[in-house]
Amino acid sequence: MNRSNDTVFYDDKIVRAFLWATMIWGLIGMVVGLLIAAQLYYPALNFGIPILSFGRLRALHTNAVIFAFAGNAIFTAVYYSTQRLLRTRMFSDFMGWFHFWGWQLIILAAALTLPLGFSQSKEYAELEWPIDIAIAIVWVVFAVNFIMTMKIRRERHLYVALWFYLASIIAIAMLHIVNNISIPASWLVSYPVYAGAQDALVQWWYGHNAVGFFLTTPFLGLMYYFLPKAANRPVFSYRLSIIHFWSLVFIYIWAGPHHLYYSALPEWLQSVGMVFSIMLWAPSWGGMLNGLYTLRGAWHKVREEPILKFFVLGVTAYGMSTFEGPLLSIKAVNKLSHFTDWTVAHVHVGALGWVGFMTFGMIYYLIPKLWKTTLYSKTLANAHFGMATIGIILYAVSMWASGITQGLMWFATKADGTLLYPDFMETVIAIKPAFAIRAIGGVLYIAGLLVMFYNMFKSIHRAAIVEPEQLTIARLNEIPVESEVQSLVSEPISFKIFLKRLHTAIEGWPLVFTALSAAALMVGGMVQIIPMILTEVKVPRGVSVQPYTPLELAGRGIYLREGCYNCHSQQVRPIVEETARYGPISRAHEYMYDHPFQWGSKRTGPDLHRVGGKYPDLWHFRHMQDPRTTSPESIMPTYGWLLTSSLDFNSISAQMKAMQRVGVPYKTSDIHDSKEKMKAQAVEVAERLKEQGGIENVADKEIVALIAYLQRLGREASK
Amino acid sequence: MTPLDRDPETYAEVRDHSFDGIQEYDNQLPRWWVYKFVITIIFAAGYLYWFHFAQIGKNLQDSYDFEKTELAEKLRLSKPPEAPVSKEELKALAQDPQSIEKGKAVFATRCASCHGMEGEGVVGPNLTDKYWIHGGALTAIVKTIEEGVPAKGMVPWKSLLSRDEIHQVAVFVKSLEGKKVSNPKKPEGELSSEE
Repeated sequence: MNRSNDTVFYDDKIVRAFLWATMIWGLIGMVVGLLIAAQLYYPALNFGIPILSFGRLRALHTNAVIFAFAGNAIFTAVYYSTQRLLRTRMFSDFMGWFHFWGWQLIILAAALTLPLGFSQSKEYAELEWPIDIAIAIVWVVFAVNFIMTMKIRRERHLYVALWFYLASIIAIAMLHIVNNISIPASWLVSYPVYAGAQDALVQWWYGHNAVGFFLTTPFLGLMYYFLPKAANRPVFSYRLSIIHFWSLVFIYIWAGPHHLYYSALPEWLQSVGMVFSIMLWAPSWGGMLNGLYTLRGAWHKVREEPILKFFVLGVTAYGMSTFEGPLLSIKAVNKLSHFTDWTVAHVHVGALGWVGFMTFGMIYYLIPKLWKTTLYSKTLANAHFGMATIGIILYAVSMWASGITQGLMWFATKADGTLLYPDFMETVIAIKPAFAIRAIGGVLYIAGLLVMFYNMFKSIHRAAIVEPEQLTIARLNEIPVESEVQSLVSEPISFKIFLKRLHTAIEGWPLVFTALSAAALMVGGMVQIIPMILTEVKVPRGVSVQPYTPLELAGRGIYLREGCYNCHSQQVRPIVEETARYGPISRAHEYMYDHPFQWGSKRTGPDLHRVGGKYPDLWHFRHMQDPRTTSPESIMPTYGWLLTSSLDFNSISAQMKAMQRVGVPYKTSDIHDSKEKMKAQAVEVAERLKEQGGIENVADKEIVALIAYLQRLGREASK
Repeated sequence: MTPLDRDPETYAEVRDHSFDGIQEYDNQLPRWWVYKFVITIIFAAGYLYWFHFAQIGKNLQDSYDFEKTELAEKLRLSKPPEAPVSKEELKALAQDPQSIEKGKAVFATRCASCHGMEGEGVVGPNLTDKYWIHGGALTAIVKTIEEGVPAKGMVPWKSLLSRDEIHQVAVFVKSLEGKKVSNPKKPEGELSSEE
């Protein structure tokens, strides 16, 4: 055989960099999470300061833990394991460092812009367009680096971990780009090209699959590498890997509409979302089985080894949340759980249990490897495990209790059919103790992380200077793919063996593998989104939906900036108890000029779609000034700055122009005198405030715009 | 990693290749897992057929309408229409300090945010003067509370408060008439001496 050898140095420096970033951003993201959890119990912790208010910080929390903590953890895993699985250094050091610094700068930009209120107001896609473009560029560089590394590999076939990395990279690129197509009105304000129900569909196709391809598949890849390594056991089943990989990437992408049941989204889409969510149960569990069954014969090691403890609990949490997911996707269950803390419990079992514990297990595995040292203390690692586990239990149980309690209270009726708890506030008071317990769970989880930091410092402190490891690796033996294809037909074989050999052949053909997974990923989105974009919104006879006036549009901008959608929905579902509480069912045409849609996903406060005209302007004024004057037990932050900040009359024409470009029928003349019209309506609101409560000098303050928007909400229903 | 040719439990073969030392068995798919997958696929097909292709199952709007009719029927059967409360009943209640006290408690949580803790008027009108916008008689006050004044932002309380609570609040409000308060809102409506 004619095989020559190469000298190879794996690049572990970049893995260490990503590992540090994971730890640091993880801590920051979780501390912000703890703060907003505490705010729900003590609204005073919003401090009346814009950058610290719940509506803005919640976006920072979700973005930080998803893209900064989980993101850097994924990159740590990918850069470490890909080099070893392909027996080569990454293709380009420059691309690697561009990826690293680019990503950290993006996170920094997010940490600045989100608290300042620059937000697209679509969950997990809040970052404004210049940052979105930066994300796309960095992601493409990462993808190219990854794909080129496959090209220079010294291992003929791709191991299952790499399949999952590859699918994740393709899926995230597709989701991110499609969901963020928008028209800028200025450097930090933009509107999505999609409106209303359309925007909702695209957003939740993105939102659901961001969970799928950012928090699930990359971590399955991580599991497939680090779990068998740590347990020193062969993976349970190769064929299970094949079946569950392909079924997972194909089915996952269809399930987005399960976030939009009972909404104005066409019902066939809701049903398709539901049945695919249910079919997702087995493919998801395939990964759990391959993880847990790999440990057969190694359970005694789990008792002694904290790394394996983290992996076992992580995989178990994955199994729990991927059972709970399909359960919550049943329409009848979702009717109760939607908008409640049950959803919050569900995502946190996944985030804290699966993503967190797989990451911690990986880091404990990597510390000795990357720094050529031993772990300072197994006892401390075990303590971390214990604290974090109790933290998760407190978090999940309190939020399950809270979600189910509140859901049942919303639907409770008296014998005569009227609501038992017509006052929303009663349902909030009932769950407040759960908020406190959740925060305690968070404290424990973060304390565990601090223990890990200490353990890591101590371990590294003892390490000598790390020299790159020199390896001698044989070049890839050139077997043409054709010969593998040949082996499929040269001898009579059973269909099963044929399929397996075919798959093995494809594993040696990265471009084909990439193309096939891209195809599997695209079908679902195309079948759902394209018909939705091609059909026009049906407006009932005799109804004419008017676009927002300049002042209402400015008020909507404030609503988006403050992140009101984090706690308030704008979507009355066709459920009798719900129409009794809020008013007429929300219809698709009412949202036809909503760029972005604001249906929300959580009701920490009541639905607002029918709030227009329910209270006098003065009520809203006082409520924003201090919610507890109008609703004594309210947990809403105070919004005092809206009463003093000057309203921006100058950018309205640019905003209306951008709206016109995404399809809102503003006339050029409307835009021309938008500033005057806006001022005139502001004076009207200010005069009403003066008449109702002697409020003076507010015609040029932000509050009048917000009131104008709130009073406009849902008025289409009465027409 | 020690080379294991076969899974010690199932005797499944190990693949003839390892990746960075990771080996893979080629175990059979767990049967229960396969059955579960097949059942969910059959369910999916059945569900879509039932609700969308054959349209046997009710769609969301139809089931909403159905529930709504059912509810209306339930409401009709459960309670015969109550006679409106009489002037005499209310007058008797107005003499009962306990009822007024109960009304005061309800007022504090439900009404004070708009009418002020002492009824002096904030967003809503002053209730301590002798001027009434919608009538100052006890029966008129009850009606205003029940129906609300949606045009001006007062919600109808009929579905939010019980019949007794509404009567208690009404007699409490009436008891405020003529009370001296520190920061009264200017009077609105007409002078009324009705009871």
